Amino acid sequence: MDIYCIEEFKNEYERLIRKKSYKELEKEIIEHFLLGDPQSIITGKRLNNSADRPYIKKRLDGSGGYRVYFYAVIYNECIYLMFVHPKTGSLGGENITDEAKAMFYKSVLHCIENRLLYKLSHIERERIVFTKIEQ
Amino acid sequence: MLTCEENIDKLNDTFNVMLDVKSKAQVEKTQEEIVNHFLDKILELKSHLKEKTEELDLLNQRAEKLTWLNNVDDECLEKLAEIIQIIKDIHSIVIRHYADLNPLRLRGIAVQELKMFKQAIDDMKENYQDLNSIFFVLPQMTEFTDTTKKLEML
Repeated sequence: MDIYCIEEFKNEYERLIRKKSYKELEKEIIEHFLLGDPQSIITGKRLNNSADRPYIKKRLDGSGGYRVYFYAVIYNECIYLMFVHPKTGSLGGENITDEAKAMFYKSVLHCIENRLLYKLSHIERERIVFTKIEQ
Repeated sequence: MLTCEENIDKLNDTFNVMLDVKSKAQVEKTQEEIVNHFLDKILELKSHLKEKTEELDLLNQRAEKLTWLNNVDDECLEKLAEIIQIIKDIHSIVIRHYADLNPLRLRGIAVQELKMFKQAIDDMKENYQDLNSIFFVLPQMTEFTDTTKKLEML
């Protein structure tokens, strides 16, 4: 699958992995999204009742781990990561609000329409590389 | 000076007291038995917590699967509202149960089991909030439903 993300995801991800306590996030994203097969990637809670273009909230690293919000377009095997937040630690928090869920959803629409996306890849299963796609 | 008969009475008296204490001591548990009994109770508690956590984990998995239901009509929504209420009820029961047991965790008893139990309880709360959001809040938000329509047209 091709894994993309929007600016909000990249910013939040980079803010988190600067902290030692969230170092595992990089590994979790690589293992689940970049190395996972489509069937395992498209799991979690579906927020938008769409069978072929689900908006999903995915739990990574267990209950006290992370929540990743992403949009999947199944027919062309594309995943768009929208936001991530930890549940615990100094930057951790409860669920994001419904308004925030709607806002990220709207943002992914805008970014796909205008190709304001980054493509994710990894170096030796250890580091995520963000490459801005050409508009 | 005591006569022999008086001596015998006193000795008998003391003998009976000693005998009484001895028989009581035989009935009472040794310290080792008390410790073993206490440890058995901790193991029982750990096993009970593990069982409860597994039960909650299964409920949580079921709750997540509900979000993949297609063609949800009014009848389904009614049933979903009932399910959400039941999950809330279960949550308020088990969180009290956890609060009752939490002093044990602070004393270092069943720490891991109580941690896992609490995580399952927290997941349960997150699940009823998510289900409510998915079936009753987000579909009522025009901004959200408009985005779904626009994304489908891309």
